[in-house]
Amino acid sequence: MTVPAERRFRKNSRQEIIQAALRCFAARNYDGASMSDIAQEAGITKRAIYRYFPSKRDLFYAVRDSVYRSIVENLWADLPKARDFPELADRLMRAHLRFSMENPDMLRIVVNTISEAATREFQENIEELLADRAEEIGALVQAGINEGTLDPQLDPEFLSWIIVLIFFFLTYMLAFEEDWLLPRGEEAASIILRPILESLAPRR
Amino acid sequence: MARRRLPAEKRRESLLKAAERCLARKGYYSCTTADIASEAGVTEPILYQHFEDKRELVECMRDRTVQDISRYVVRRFLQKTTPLAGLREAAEAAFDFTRRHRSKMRAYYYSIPELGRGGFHRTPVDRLHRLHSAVSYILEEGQRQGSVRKDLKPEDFAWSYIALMEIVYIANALGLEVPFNDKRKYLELVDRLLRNASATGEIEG
Repeated sequence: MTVPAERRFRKNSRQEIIQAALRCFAARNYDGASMSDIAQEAGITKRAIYRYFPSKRDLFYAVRDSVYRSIVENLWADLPKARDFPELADRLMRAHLRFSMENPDMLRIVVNTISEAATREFQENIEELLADRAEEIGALVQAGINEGTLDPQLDPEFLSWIIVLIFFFLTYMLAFEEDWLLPRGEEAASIILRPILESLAPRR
Repeated sequence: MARRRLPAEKRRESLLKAAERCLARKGYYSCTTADIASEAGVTEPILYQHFEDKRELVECMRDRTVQDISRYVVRRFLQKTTPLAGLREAAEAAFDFTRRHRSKMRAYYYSIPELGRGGFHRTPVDRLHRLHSAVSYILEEGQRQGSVRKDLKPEDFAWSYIALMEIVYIANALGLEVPFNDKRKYLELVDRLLRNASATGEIEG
């Protein structure tokens, strides 16, 4: 099926506006980036932006959703290659850290969205966003219990939320440009995770 | 209605508390100095007599929060007589403090939107570094006393411990109820981690 030329154009420019806004928000934060800045960065008029996004806030939400989607897509791409849960968790954390290091603009958006978590609409959205992730990780945790690398006494649902939160912790450390973490790169994720994973193994 | 004149220190204090409430409710960007002034029951010019701008006010608020939580956690740590028991107590203390002061801690995390710009992000980074030095030192002390595994690298292990501590603050900032609904399950994870560091597999004291 062919997409009508006009639809295709519209889809592209929406994506281009989001990319331009991502760069602007990352460089100047939410307050500092005006719709005029974003229009200039995208090489279109302000009016054209308002055709797709009724407000700056709506545009920010679109940027945020696109960032979270990219992060998750990147993570899940690495999934099938692991032998057991500890290796899988390690790979996921490393992939996350690598991706965040390669995309500093996205990293800043993630940190920005935490400071926006107070607004009700964002709250609903983030719970939904993370609930899906926690559920996916929960299934992996259950598989870890079944294969014997995780203690069956652990609550898979609770543990999956803890893992989601550790993703955020690493994001923060990276955003802080933490001295210990930066030179170690993705190895830092393994170092932090290893003792935690060891402590989750069945007790002898 | 005549507004009561407060001494400068008290006025500052009430503005800082107002900033906490306001930030926790609205986030950094949406919370203006006008909102904070009105929350404190004063006019904006009065706010500006005490603080240069929103940034300075928020920085003071942040410093105060760090001081409050550090004092509380250290006090609880000192109640225990061995390094690992102290660390377990400290993690529980951080959890308790967050659960008791949810908007204060939320305001703290919401005040970190501008990473890498000027000196504004120093407080959170410094706090993390001080925490890391302290935990590493405590683990080294445990190794000297023989209660912590010798093959463990304190500098590295400290970050695993801090990760478990810090996710409580992050969950609170994101408005997640997960760890707060089940303190026992959370402490079980901390306990497991610290047992893993113990030379005997047990935590004495």
